[in-house]
Amino acid sequence: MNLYNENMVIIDLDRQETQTRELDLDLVQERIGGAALNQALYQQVSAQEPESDPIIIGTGPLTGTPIPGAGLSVITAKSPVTGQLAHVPILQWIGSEIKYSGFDFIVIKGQAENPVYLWLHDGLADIADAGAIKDQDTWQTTDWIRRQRGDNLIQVISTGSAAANQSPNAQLVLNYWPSADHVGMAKLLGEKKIKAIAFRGLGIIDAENGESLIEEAIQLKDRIRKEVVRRKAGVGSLGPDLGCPDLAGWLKPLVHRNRSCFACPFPCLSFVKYNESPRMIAESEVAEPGLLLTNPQVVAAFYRTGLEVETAMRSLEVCARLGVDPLSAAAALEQNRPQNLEQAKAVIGNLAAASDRADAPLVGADASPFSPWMPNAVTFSVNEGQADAAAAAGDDGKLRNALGYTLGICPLLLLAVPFLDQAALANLLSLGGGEEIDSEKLEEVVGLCLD
Amino acid sequence: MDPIECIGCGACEVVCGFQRDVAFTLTSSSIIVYRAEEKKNYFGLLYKTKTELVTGRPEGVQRAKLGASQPSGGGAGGKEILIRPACDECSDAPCARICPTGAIEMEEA
Repeated sequence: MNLYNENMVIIDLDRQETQTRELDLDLVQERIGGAALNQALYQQVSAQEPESDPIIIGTGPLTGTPIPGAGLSVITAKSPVTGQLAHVPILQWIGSEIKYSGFDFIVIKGQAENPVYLWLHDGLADIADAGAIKDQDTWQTTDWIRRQRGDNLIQVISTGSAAANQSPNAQLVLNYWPSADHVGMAKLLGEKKIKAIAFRGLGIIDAENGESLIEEAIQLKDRIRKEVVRRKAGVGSLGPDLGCPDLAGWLKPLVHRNRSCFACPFPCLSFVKYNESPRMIAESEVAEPGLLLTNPQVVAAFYRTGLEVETAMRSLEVCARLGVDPLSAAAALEQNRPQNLEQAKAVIGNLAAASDRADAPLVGADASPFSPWMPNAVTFSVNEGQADAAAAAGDDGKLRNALGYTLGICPLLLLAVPFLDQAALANLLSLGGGEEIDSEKLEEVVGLCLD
Repeated sequence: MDPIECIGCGACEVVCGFQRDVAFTLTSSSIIVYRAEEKKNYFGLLYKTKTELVTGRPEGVQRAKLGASQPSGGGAGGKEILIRPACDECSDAPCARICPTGAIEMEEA
């Protein structure tokens, strides 16, 4: 089938078995993909095996194509923090690698007896022993898997000590960097004794009208760069929409280079260096010079702690290594007011071991099933600092989220690009998939995520 | 090539691969985003022509004749370009057209 591998895998941790299956194409017709299809799989598995507590990882039809922002996959499960079904986006280069590893959807059920990591590669799914890494932090875990498997481009969803302790403050980490998991998905992995999930593949994605899809991608990219992004870059550019107008200025002394996720023309990821000069552009001997800032709400939360920027960034690195939700950490840091980095580390370390969730007001605030990692609007494309647009985007934001999570496109980009609307997305889907889908059908399907 | 402008999106790899395999893939392009030093945030472009290997480091571009001793560094992540097919010099240069920042531009011969 165009845009998919037509491949899914069921990983049964109770039986230590994996079973590859053909993708149910009728379900794809009905649910298109991403969060909408994940939700259907979750409901199917839960109905048949209520004790299995399934986790579904799914790609969208556009994931892995050169359409702007098409690097998203989704993890869907019942959040141990909110008790509700939740969808967490997987971005950077991991979302696309899931599809290139040969799998469109992955169902994980049951619980392992001993710590394991899942290794999905070129259509093969292995349950591997994680004894050597069970006590390692997330950075050590990703390094170990990449060394063990001989490939620095393996993409890893990792967990740290917070997940191992089954703390509700646990967060998934993407390779080395904080994710958009603010609903304790990592706690769920910890309960299942999954230390990490690794992906790598030499996949090929067919498209019906691939050349036309590429032309559309180029024209969209040109228009996005000219009318929306212009020269904006870095997480600091989102400061006004996060309620932190001086975010860029606060970060500026540490910012090295900005970069983007797979196929995205907006480089909203900022790398900060504090273990060497951020002006060091050439490769140096310093193995771990800093941190990639991947989550706008997290950066804003750390700005609001009042910590000096380097202390804040080093504290965020501790969150990433331990796999602690930085929103929980920021709330605790604001409350405890640490005087130095050692005190901040102690606060974060306590969260990794805590059995209670630290107050993190964004989680579940509007009962949305989607991660609260983004601002409610991205207004630099409309009018600089226009607050009304943000308010107006409240409901529109939920639909944009649902569209992105279903099709495999970053919802932050969709929020910033109003002309990438339902009709345009339906056209892209029709071009690539080869079957006509209209915007009404698209809205009907993505609406299922909002029920 | 202006590697410091690269934002590491990889769209160039995907569209170049499509020219060869008529499908979206990252295995057959003549241009690669070098991204094997993720913790250092050290990334750039590797590009293979019929006669040269062009290493687009963020600090500057190096060119070497294929078969001569190659520029150092890059580790295992850099060596892959050597087994890729050489650039077909497509007249419409989709890699340059899809690049969002102008890090890749097509030059007239």
